[in-house]
Amino acid sequence: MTTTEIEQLAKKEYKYGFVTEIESETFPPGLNEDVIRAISAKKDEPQWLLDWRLKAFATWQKMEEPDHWPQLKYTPTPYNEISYYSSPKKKDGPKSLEEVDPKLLETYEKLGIPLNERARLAGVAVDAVFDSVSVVTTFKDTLKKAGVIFCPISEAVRDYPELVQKYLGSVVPHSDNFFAALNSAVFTDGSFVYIPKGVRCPMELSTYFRINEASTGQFERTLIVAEEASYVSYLEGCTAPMRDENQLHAAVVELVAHDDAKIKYSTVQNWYPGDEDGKGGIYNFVTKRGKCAGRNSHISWTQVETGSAVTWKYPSCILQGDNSVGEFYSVALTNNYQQADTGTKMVHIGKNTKSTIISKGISAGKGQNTYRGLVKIMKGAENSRNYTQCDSLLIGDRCGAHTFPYIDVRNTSSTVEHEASTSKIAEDQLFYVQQRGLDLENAVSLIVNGFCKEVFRELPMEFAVEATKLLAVSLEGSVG
Amino acid sequence: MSTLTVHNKLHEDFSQNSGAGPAALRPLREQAFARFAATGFPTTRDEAWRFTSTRALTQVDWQRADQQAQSQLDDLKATVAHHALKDVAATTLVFVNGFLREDLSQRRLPAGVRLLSLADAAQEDWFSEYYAVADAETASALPALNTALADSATVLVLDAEARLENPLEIIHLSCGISPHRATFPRTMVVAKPMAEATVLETFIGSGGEAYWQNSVSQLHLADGARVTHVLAELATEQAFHTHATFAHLSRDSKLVSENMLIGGALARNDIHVNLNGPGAEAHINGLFLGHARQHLDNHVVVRHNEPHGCSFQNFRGILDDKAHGVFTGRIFVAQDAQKTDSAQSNRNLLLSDEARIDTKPQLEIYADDVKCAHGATTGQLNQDALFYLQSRGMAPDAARNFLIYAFAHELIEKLAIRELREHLEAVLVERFGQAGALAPEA
Repeated sequence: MTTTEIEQLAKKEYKYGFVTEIESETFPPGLNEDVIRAISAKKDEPQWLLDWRLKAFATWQKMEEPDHWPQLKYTPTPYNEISYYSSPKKKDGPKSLEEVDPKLLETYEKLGIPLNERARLAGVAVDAVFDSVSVVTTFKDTLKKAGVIFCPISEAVRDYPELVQKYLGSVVPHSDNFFAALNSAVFTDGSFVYIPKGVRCPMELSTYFRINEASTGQFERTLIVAEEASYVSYLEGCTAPMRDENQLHAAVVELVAHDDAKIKYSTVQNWYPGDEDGKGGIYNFVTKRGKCAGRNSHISWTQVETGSAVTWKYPSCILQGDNSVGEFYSVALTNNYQQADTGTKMVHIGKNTKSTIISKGISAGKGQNTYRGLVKIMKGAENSRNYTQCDSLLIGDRCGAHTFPYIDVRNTSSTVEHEASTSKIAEDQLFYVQQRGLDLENAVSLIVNGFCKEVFRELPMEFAVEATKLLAVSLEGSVG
Repeated sequence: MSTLTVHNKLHEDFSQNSGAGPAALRPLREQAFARFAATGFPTTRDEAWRFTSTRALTQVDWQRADQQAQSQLDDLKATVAHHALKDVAATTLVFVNGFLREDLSQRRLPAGVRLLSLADAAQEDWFSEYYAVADAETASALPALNTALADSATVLVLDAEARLENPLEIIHLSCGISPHRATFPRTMVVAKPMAEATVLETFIGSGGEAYWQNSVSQLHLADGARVTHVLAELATEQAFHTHATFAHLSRDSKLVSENMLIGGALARNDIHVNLNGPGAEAHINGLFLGHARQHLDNHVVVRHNEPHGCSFQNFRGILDDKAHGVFTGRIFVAQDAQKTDSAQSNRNLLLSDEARIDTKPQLEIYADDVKCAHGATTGQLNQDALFYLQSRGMAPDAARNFLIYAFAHELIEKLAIRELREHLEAVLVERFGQAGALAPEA
């Protein structure tokens, strides 16, 4: 098939690109200690949290943006020209769905998020974050009965300060990296999840993030703590309006799994990727890390990255407890001028720890897709095992696919395997599928989905369907 | 620069001797030294040197080794004889501390090959294009330091369609009593169209002191040329050896690069292969055998700049005691290099819990119609295989030795030079063998 034909396939519009006209309260642009104090005051935070923010800010000022090592080219964010706080205007937090601004609800409706009763059918508890502030959390009562805490992190600071103080920054310290330090200083909201001992969370928890206001950054912070023998599956989705400027999204996600606990964290990231000429789009600079603190604990990351102009993201696992398991399943797609530098870190500390990495990169148009990962087996991590597979698919002759794994092994009883391959969609496969009666677009879609199958089957059902559709949409017009 | 304050002697040496040598070289050298002065030694902050610290190397005030080696001629002869190929070498050139020693060398050159001095080579039309091109290819300034300070070089020109049956052997020996001696060996192989040859470079040292060899080899393959380059790094275990090979391949040429890192407290081997003509082919193999506290670093960069090229990398490491091995392999495929076929494999065997390996196989691909793959494994001896051998009546030690031997042998058996194979097998037995012979009696 011809390149042009295929290119026709990959052009579909970004359907979440609308802006909601809603009155909001936004801080003037700029970043200094006063802004941080103001954010902290706005949220009525205790002194320890303000001190922690200021400490992070001081550290951040001394740090340099990591622009030299990732395989990314972008104009750095002018940190003093963006606003660090924006919230839909309201007097008090909404007590129930009726009190939420109907315009907001409409927005979520458009995004297809089941916020109200339809949510019951979907059986997903949703925490929705609009710009910087968490708007509403559904199914609070059902969760409360099970003993699960699922609320905006600002509420958690107020209601469960001991828990937040104990775990905040315990996995990603405030000095971890440039973006994590910035987030620690200015984070505004996010989700907090606490699963008590022995509880299997009765439903999937979900957060939707939405950037609406122009010239703002979004800095959310998610903290999930799973006590002994508990289980939780958490989903995350994101969208943003279409704008010519690059907006910054610098989130931090921390997971803590105690003995025998399991956390499953799934992301479908669909921030605005910028237009065909690479103008606009979200900078997605995210630090995600899970700590398998207890014996037999298990953390699993699944991500489908189709949005953002620039993605810089390495969901990681620190396998501290003996027999703990870390998993990373990723599909990253870059089209037009999108760039992604993503991967994972698996740090094996405990004995008999296992990790699996399956990464599928798809590059189309002028997209640049990089897998960067670290597997580190410490001396004490006896009998550890890692298996890594990174496959890249190239669609078109102007895109790039890169693989940069780092493997560091320090004992003899562990086994580490890494495999990677890069290829384009085989002509014979395309021919075969077309010859069976599928048109070109569907043929490519079928093959790409087959390529990603190992990752998609890790996603919860609703998300898997969404991810498949998303992939088809993102590829439209680029196939070639 | 802080690094240079320590390296006064190299600095002095350069200012005193930069005027020497052929005039054509002077600007190149000055440029190269300026680069080193500005950049200094690489540090672990440089991505390409992330796992290899040059701290120990920078702490010594290195001084260029004496031209007149103090050792007795008989001792030198014995050392050289121990390492030199006995009868297959067409020519053996022996350099002591960077200077060609006629009394130790066998200079009968076969037909079709010319040996030029650096001054003569500087008169050739290709020289200025080729000579300094190496310096720009690495982020590190060590090859530039070699350009600045190497005042002799081995330049071998293979005439068009010359076919050499036997290998050309070059031995670089560092000897003397100074504990701060540094040498800067430089080799150039210029293969004219359809020429074919094997060049073996052996790096050795004598004495128990630390010394430094900072060497560069350049291979220029014209259309259809076939060159096999064998690097045997057999330095003493106190030594530092930093080496860089730069290869430029024209249309339909073929390079085989065999690399053996055996000696040295710190050995770093950079291999940069550029496939600049369509249909060029490169095979790059390496074996590194580390024990005690050795640090052995392999750094391979293959650039596919033209279509229809293929390259295959196969590196194996065995590490015992507190040895630290590093493998970095990068395959770069430019946008126009369609139909590239490239594969890379690094397998490592750790024999001790104190040993460490960092491996970093990388793919950087800008063309879509390519086949590229890489794989890396690190592990211990296969328990099932050990059990199987024991169940067949082999003693545990013998079974272990047998498997180590087999692991390394897949690379060793590919070497065309028999004496080198035997030498490597001896090293395997000496370093990793337990309770007797490593290999079963043949």
